[in-house]
Amino acid sequence: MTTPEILTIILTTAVTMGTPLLFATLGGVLSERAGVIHLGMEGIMLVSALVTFVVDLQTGSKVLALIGAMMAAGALSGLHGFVCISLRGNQIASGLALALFGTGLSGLFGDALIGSTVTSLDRIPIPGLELIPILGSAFFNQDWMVYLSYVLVAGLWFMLFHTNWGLQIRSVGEAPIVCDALGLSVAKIRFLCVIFGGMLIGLGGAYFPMVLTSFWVDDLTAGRGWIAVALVIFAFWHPGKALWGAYLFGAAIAFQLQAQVMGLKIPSYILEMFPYLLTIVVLTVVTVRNRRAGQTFMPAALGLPFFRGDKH
Amino acid sequence: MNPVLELQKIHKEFPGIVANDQIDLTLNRGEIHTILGENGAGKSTLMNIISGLYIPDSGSMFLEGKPLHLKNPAQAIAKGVGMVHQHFMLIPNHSVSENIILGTPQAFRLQKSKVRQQIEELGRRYGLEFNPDLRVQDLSVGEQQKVEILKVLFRGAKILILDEPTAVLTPQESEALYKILRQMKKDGQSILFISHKMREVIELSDRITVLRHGKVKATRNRGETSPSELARLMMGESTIQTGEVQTKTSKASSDQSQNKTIVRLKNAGLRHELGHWLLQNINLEVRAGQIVGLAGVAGSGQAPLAEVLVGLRGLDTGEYQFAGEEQKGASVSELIHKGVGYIPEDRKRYGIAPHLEVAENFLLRDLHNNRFQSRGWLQRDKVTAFGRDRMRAFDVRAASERTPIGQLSGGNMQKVILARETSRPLKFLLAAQPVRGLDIHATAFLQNQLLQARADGLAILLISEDLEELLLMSDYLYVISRGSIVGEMPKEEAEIEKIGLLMTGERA
Repeated sequence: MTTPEILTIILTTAVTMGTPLLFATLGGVLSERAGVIHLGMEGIMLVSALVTFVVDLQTGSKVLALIGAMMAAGALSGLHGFVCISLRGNQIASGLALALFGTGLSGLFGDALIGSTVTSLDRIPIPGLELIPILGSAFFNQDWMVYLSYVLVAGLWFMLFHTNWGLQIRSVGEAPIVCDALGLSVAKIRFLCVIFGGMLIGLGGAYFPMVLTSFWVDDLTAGRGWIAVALVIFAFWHPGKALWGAYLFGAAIAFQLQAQVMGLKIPSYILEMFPYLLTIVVLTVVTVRNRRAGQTFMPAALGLPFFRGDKH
Repeated sequence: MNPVLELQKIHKEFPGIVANDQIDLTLNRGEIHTILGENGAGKSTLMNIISGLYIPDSGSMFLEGKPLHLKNPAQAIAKGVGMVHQHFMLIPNHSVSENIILGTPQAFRLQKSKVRQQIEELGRRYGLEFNPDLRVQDLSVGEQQKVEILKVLFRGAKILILDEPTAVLTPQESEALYKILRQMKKDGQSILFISHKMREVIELSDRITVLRHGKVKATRNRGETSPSELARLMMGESTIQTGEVQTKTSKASSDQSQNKTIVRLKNAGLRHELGHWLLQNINLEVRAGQIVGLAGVAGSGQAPLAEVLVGLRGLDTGEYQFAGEEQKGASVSELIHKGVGYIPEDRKRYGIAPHLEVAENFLLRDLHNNRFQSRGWLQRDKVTAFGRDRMRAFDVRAASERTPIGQLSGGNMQKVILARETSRPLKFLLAAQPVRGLDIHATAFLQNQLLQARADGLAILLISEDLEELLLMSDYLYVISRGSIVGEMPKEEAEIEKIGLLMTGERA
């Protein structure tokens, strides 16, 4: 193989592998911009992958499968919202519980699916753009869910930084007390963000049976939900940066797969560790650099339940 | 006269305290009306009622002649009542314009250039100009306050309430603020101004209403009053109500100047981390068997001074001598060991561990000695017995010594703290606002205990914002203002008016 060919393969795989990470990271960004930490991504992705698989098997409709996945993810996130927003519970505990619950649930019902297969989405080349050397086929000869993710990145960015809704969402994540005093409903805004954010995470889960694997295996997402949790931080809670972060990790996964194919003499366990090791390294570097610069991009009220400040 | 806002018989009680007692108040169009009063006089409660944060128990409000019922701050804003809080309600991470438009009706897609134009126009009218794209965290405190004012004006406020707006400003920034307020007044805005700074009140206000103990004491027009009259109205006549305090029984030995000096600060100075001085040139002495009072308005340097005396902070200049020894760099535990006791101002945060039992709270001062432990094991029976004994001696009312202390009333909590501090060898007790918020019986009990401790030879520094309490309790008085001691006098020469003027930064 020539170098451009290898590059094209790695880039294409990077986008494919990065797309579920991207969906989940966008969902996390939306939820956390409003101040609610979403650690339950892995569980939500697994459950929505399961729902996608089942609905696809039963109806053969990809669209119905996707709708089902988003509804399941939205419902689970609503539960997270209920605990964190209505009951003012601990967001970390609730998120972890959700992750474990989703993993268990998908394992339980997934058993019956072992042996069945679904079809994968076709690639739809975009005329003209796909002809760009190397990048063209990586970014513009993909399935429609990849194109949907591009639209979502732009849409979420526009919504957060250029609309009145976005201003309210970011404000609720920064200073709920101020928003409350100005007559905004902190709970309503947070709930909407957690539920819609959850639906985006659900798209990430759905991408596995839609594109990546046509058969069911236990623990289908293999920890990618946890990488997305880290990616939200790595992306500084910004949709645009989430795109590059997701593809960087997608490339790490692609590299690992490619290295195995090419038969590099590195034990496969170490190769499989690579993306997760990269997560730790990147998080450390980003955190240290931000601290040096005296800057934090984290929403100021992230993780803090909101109580109206009655003094007496 | 053209009243914009009228309050009739506004009444508000909190458990154990009447914060506002039948208050009548009128605010006219285009006037600056100041509410003057000491801490705890009920100013903030009243403003919180007007801005919709509290609902009054009884009484009525009228806005431009129409009844005004507010359930929350959002309704107040919608009706044109805008509040500039003492602690700014701004989002530091967001731009000035984002802060100003948040919560107002806007097009779905933000019209940033249009908004910028609106803000600049409004700013020009009142001299509140700055770049709307700057982030709030990059602004000075004075500029942040201007953003707060602009935020209120942007919402079309008819009434502007400013809660102690100059407390955080430099003199120059304050002057700029007065100019803005006068401009707004000319423009027909009505302003309620809360303050306890005499000079600015007299200079700025068209009318002044004095609150004291939740009641309206008097309303005076511009030019018809004097600082001394206002001080008297604000702090009360110097009639000392002896109440239940048995001053006579614990009469201090007549000549305390012979007593040993326990605490001495010499030219003490303390800097804030950012460089400005919190305390400067403090010279202060507390002798054994003496209660020394420290008078001053809130935030004049009492808190850093207390932190120096108990060892939480080290001085940047000068000396701190305890029982004749220099204490440079002495830690809190060293000073505890040498006999320093502390009743902190914020008793719930710094005085107790709310979820621990009453008995356990008694031993918080003895965690690094062997009084209640043996080979690292806590001796529960000793703890319980000690707790029971102290509760009886200090009349602490709780279900049992195992009740979590957070469930006790403020008075009982304070008794536990006092009992803990005085139940070990003590030379000096720092009592910061020891009776604030307590009912009359708990107050009398605590004051009697302090007087008793003085009679037993303890040196006590009493920090309070209540002049009557200070005159009642102290043998000697210091007045602190802006981090410096601005006056000192023995009790016999102390007059409430003179101290009041010193406290508010006036020269007597």
